[in-house]
Amino acid sequence: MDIKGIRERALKDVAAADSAEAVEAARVKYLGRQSGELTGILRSLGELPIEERKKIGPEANALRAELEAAIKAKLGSLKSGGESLGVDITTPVAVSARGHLHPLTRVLRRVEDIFIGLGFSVVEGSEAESEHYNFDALNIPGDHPARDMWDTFWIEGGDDGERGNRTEKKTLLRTHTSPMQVRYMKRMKPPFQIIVPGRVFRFEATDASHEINFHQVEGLMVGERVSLANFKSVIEQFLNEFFGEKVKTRFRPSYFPFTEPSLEVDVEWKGKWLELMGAGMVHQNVLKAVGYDPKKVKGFAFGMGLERLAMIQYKIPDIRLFYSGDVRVTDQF
Amino acid sequence: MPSLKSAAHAAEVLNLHLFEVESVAGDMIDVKVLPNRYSDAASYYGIAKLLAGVLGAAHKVPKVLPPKPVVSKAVPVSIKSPKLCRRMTARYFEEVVVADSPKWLAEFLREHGLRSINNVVDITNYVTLLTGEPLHAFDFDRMEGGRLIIRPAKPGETVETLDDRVFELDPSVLVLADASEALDVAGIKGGKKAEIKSGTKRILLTAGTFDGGAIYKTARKLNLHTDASQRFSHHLSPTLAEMGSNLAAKLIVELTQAKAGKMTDNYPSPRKGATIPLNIERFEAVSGIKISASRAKEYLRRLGFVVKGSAAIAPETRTDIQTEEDLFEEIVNVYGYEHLPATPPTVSLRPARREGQSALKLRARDILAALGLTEVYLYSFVSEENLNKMGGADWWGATKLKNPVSREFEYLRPSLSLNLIKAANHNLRFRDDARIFEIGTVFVRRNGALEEDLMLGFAFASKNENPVLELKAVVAEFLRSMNATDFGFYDLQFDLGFLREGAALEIRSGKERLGYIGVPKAADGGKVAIAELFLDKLSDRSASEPKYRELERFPAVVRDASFAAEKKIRIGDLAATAENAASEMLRSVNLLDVYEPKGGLFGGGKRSVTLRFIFRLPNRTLTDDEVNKELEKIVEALKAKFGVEVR
Repeated sequence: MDIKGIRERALKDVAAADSAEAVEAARVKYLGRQSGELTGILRSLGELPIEERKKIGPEANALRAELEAAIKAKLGSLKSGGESLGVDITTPVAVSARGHLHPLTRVLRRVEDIFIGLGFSVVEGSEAESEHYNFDALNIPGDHPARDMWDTFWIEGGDDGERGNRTEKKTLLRTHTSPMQVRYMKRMKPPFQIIVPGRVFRFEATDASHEINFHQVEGLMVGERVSLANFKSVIEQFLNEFFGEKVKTRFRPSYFPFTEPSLEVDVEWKGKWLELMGAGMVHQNVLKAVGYDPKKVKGFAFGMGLERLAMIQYKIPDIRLFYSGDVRVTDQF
Repeated sequence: MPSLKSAAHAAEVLNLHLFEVESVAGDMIDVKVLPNRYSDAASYYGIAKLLAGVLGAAHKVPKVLPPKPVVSKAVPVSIKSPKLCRRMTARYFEEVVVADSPKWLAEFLREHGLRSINNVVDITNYVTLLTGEPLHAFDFDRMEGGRLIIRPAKPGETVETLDDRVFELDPSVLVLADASEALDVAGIKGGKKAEIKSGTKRILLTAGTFDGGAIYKTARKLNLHTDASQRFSHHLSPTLAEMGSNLAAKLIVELTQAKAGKMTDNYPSPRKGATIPLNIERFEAVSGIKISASRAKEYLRRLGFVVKGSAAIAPETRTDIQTEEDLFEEIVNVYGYEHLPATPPTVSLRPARREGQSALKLRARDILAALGLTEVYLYSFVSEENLNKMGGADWWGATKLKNPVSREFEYLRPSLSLNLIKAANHNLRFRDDARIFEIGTVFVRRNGALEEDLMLGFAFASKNENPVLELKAVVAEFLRSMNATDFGFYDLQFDLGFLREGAALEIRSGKERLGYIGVPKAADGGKVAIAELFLDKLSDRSASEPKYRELERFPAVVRDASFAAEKKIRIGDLAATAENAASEMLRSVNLLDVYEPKGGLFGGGKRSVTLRFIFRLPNRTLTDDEVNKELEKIVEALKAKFGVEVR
């Protein structure tokens, strides 16, 4: 029984039909109750040996469904020429206006939603910071080259007097979201776990992967029993969820003045290791600076660049596109 | 090293246990030594020692013995600032033959990006690469008084460096000096006066240790950054000085046929590696790794720690090791992150949520996207030129950066509008209209204090009509969606210098200012409308969810009326007067149409305004008669106030 041959002929006949009558003729030829070719095969299935029936039955049934669909579509196309309603529904139309959220907003939402699901709250901090919160309270001494890891924008008229609990003299644009670690810990009692997304600033030359303003997401979990192994668990869950598959990750030793031990997390992306975040156990000097007892509480902290996540996620090749203000960028999302 | 199979293998071990590898080219591995590890690891010896430790390989420390002194001369060394110079070694040589370096040495330096100068200088550079200690050799015959003094520079004292630059110094700068004047900038750059040249016969080889912070500050102040200043500012251990001097001395004797004198070692308070008790339970608590104390100690021993009982003594070169956590990091690094277990944390269940501004932004963005707007993220910086077009820096209370990257980004943005107008116009290059918004922080100085406001900015631009009314409708709908109550658009009670007069309104809720809307004076060509709202002022108001209202049960009556009105009469004023004149029966007044033929109506100066009035009462059906009376009342009021005529 030549199911394949019937299929070929039947589809050709339906496609060639140029009127409803011609379609109907094709239908009768293959699916007609009396003498349809395919109907005949379906009817004779019961007479076949069991093995053959098992093979041909499903094929014949699938073909019947396919032919019925093709006939329906053909009839639709023959009717929609504007005769029935006075409207040709196939006419091309402009896309109806829909708003578009920026790719960074979209990626941030995903990040926030995943962490909220893991029990982290989302808080934010201010963009202008004191030198104290941006550096000193984070165990980054003024005369150590470690400070060169963050190229800083300084704000004129630095003496901003009392502003909140800012009593320090020098004001800068925060170079990372980490100052919020200190501010939050000062205000709250552990245990807690938060993420802090926000805009940060670096005094540097711009290119495809560097901008003078960009976004970070900081994470902080503090409690009596918090360990590096907990960090690994949390961050692996985040990465698996974010990348939607089991991604390969690599942890590497690193150095940040405000964490000890310190490490960096890479993910494998298209055969290459991509540096995704810095992390570590909150340094005891930082815990002491906020009035915690490092013998009693511990915490892990991490920070990652939002633009990098968005560039991976949406294959955006140049970080400067995020700040171009060009709606042709945002409207793709 | 026998345990290493290849450069790639070494790179992998480095990456996973020590430092990030920047690149591998042939058998050259470019390692990014971490900023706290210059003392022990920014050298061949250091990396070899660490690799061997991580691999658990048998490793012989190349114990370098200095050459035996064959002349008895030792040069006196005095340190005037022991806090800034922790150690200074000086070794005397005579009958030196300064010449070109042997090929292998010149080649080695070239591979490391260094120029070969002569055998003595090359040896000091080579030894720096091997040991991590910067060294410097002086022409002893050029040193007055035959002794070495480490002291603060005198006010105004100058040094001509090897690259022919002259630096004027002050007492915050440390120098190596002879009896009469400064010879170099200590720990940073050698000087011209006692430079080693062909013909130099006697040399003084120095290797010392300087305070990292002081070198860091001096290098920045003089803007003089060298390999030595880089190394010293990362806090080198004084141990390196002796190691470096010994190796260099050995090579000088071997390669220049010199006769070595004695080494003077001025080392007032010798440094010891920190002694830190190791508590394996604490280690487990911090890392989540369960290993035996003896295994942890074994790891530390491999890295050169001396373990005594339950305490570990750090190698003298490890200036970074000070606390228990530092030990833990060493153990974790050898153990390897690939073996770190992933253990879910134990936490008490509490609601996790977006707090404060984060929740507000989420909500606002959803509404704005539903209203069909496109979100942009723009720079936090603006140019002075842009500010001047929009009222000037003082008007805004704009704040300047001390170190802007360029004139384009000189000020912190005091308003989102400035960059939004630019972006809106940019988009008109590709399309006929653009409707964009941004949510972001602006910076304004108020009464001397820098304050941050969370703003929502809109910019609508079009090649055709100015889209200000469309924007007004969007802003109103946005505010309604945010559950803002009692808001309205009012004439400005203050000057907004950057908006066109008569085409600007303030948005208020009660007495609270929510923002403004208007047409900017400087629109850069396109027809642009802007609005800005203080987003954080909406937070409280939006806490109240809407309440259900009884559905209307009685029909509304609609009446349209056209008026011939002077052009200068504002439609908003007509509507407001109508509302004031009518009873509660009048539910709304809207503009239906404005007809304004060229030359005007009725002999010029007038236009036709058609208003739509909707009447309705909640409890009964209105009769035609009473609606007519009500409309008449309204018309009379409009005639009386504005002199309009019904058409």
